[in-house]
Amino acid sequence: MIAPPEVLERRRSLVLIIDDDHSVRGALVNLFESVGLEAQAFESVDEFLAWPLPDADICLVLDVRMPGRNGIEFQEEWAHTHGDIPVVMITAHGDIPMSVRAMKAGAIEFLPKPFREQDLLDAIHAGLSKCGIRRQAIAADADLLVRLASLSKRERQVMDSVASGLLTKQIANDLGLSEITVKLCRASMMRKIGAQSLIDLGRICERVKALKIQEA
Amino acid sequence: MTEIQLQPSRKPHSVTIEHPGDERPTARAQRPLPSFIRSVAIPAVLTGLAVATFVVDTITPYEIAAATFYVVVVLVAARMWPRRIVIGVSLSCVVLTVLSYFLTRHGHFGVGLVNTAISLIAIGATTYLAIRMEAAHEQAARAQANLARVARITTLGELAASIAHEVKQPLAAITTNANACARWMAADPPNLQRMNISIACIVQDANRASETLSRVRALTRGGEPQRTWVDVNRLIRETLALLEGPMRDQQIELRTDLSDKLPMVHVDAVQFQQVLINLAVNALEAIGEAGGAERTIQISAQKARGCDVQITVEDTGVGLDAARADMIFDAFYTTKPQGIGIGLSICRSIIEAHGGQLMATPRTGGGALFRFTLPGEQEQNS
Repeated sequence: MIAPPEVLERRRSLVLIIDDDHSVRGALVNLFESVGLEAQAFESVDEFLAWPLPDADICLVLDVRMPGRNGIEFQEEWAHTHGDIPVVMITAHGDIPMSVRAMKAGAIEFLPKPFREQDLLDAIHAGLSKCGIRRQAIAADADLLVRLASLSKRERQVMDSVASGLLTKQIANDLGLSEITVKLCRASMMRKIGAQSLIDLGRICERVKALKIQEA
Repeated sequence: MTEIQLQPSRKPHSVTIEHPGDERPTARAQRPLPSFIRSVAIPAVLTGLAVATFVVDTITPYEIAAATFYVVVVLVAARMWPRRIVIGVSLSCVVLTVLSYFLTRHGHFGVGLVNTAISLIAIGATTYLAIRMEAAHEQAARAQANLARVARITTLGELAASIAHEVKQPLAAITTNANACARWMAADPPNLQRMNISIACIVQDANRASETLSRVRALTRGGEPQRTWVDVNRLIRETLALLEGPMRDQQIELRTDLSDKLPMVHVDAVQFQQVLINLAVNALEAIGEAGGAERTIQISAQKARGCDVQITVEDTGVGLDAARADMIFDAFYTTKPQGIGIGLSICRSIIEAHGGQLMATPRTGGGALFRFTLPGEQEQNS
C-alpha cells in the first residue's frame, strides 16, 4: 500500500499511562522520557476520556486495578471503539484468568509489577509501531478512496474491466469506444489511482472491494 | 474515594502507632481517672484512714480489735497500685498495729495480744488474697491481649493481598525510577537534573514502602496493651489507609465524616485499629455478599454525650436482623464459612475494657450500622 509522504515523515509517538498510583505514574513518565518517548499520565479512566486524543502513534499503558472503573473492563470497551490503539496492561497482582481476559480483549502485553523495564519498553515499542502501521494503513485507505472518487465514470469502468483481466480490444468493444480512447482512459486512470503496474492495479482493486464490503 | 492516602511526604519514617509527646500517665482502671485523684487524693485518704485506725486502735482498750480496719486500706491499695507498693502498705499496717498494741493503756493485756494476733493474720491473709486476685486479673488481661493479637493477625492475613499491593506499588516505582535514572546518566551529556528528580522519587517511594510495613508490623506487635492519649481522627485515617486496596478492588466508595472538634481519647492505638479494621472488613464482606449497586462504607466520628467520642461504621451490605443483632458479639458465632467467630466478640471486649460500648443495629435503607463509644478527655484538661 502506498502512503502519502507526509504520513511517513515526522510521526509523533506518544505513550499514555492510566494508573491511579501517584508514584508509579511519575516513575513511568520518567522512564519513557529517559528513552526519548513523549508520555502523558492520567489518574483515572475518566480523566483520560476527557482528554482529546492527538494525531499521533499512541500506545496505552493501563493499570488493571483502579478506582471507579476496572482496567480490564475499560480495556474491553476501549478495544471495541479504538481497536487501533494498542494496550499494555500492568498489574501489581495479576493472575492467569486476568491475563487471559486481557490478552483476549487485545492487549499486546500483560506485565506483573514489578516488571523488567526492558520488557515494558519492548512492549511499548512494539505497540507504537503496530499503531503506526495501522494508522498508515488507515491513511492509505482514506487516500485510496479520495483517488477513487477522482476517477471519471468511464475511467472507473475501464479500471474494473482491466482488473477483471479483459484486453483493450474487448473493453473497447464492451464500452463501444475506440481502442485509442480506451488506452488514453487507462493511462489517466493508472496515474490517478497511483498504480505502477497491472499487478499493482489488481491489488488496489481488491482493497477497494474490501473497503466497499466494510462500508456495507 | 476520600482524600485518605498513604502520603509518603507527610511524615517519612514515622512508626505511626507510637505517639511521642503523649506522655501522660496510663491508667489501670477502666475509665482513666484524673491524675489529681490518682496521685494525691487517694493516697491522702488512705493515709488518713490508716492514721485514724491507728488512733482509734491506740485509745480504745485492748478488747476492741480496731486494727482489722487496716484491711480496707490494704484492699484499696491492692486495687490501685502494683504488688510492691501493696506489700509496703501492708507492712506499714503491721507496724502500726504492733505499735498501738504497745501504746494502748487500757484493757486486758492477754486479750489484746490475741486481738492483735488476729488483726495481723487478717492483714496478712487479705494482702495475700488481694495480690493473688490482682495477679489473676493481670493474667486474664494478658490472655485476652494474646487472643486479640491472634485475631488481629488473622484479620491481617485477610488483608495480605492488599498490603502486598501497597508495598509492590512503591517497589515498582523504585525499580522504574532507578532504570530511568541509569538512562539519564548514560545520556550524553548526563542529565543531572533528571537524575536528581529520579533519586528523590526513589527515596520517597522507599519511605512509603517502609511506612506501610511499619504499620503492619505495629499491628502484629505482642505484649501488653499500652494506652496513650491519641487523636481519634488521625488514628482512623491511618487505619483506613491499610484498607484502601480492598475497597478499590471491590469498587466500594469509602466516605468519612470526622468531626474536627473531638476530644483526645485514651486508648491502645493497636487495639483501636484492630476494632476499626475488623468492623471495616466485615462491612466490606457484607457489601461483597450483597452484591448490590450501592457500595458505600461510611465511617464517622462525632462527639457524643459528655466527653465521649462516638464512632460509627455503616455499610450497604447484607445487613442483619434486629433479633440477631446482639448474637453476633457472642464468641464463636459466625456467618462466614471460614470464620471462627471471635472477631466481633474481641472487638466488644476491647471497647468495654476501654470503658466504652459497641453495638450493632440494622441501618435504615439496608445494611448494618456498628457504633462504639470511647470516653474522651475532660474539657478542662484539654
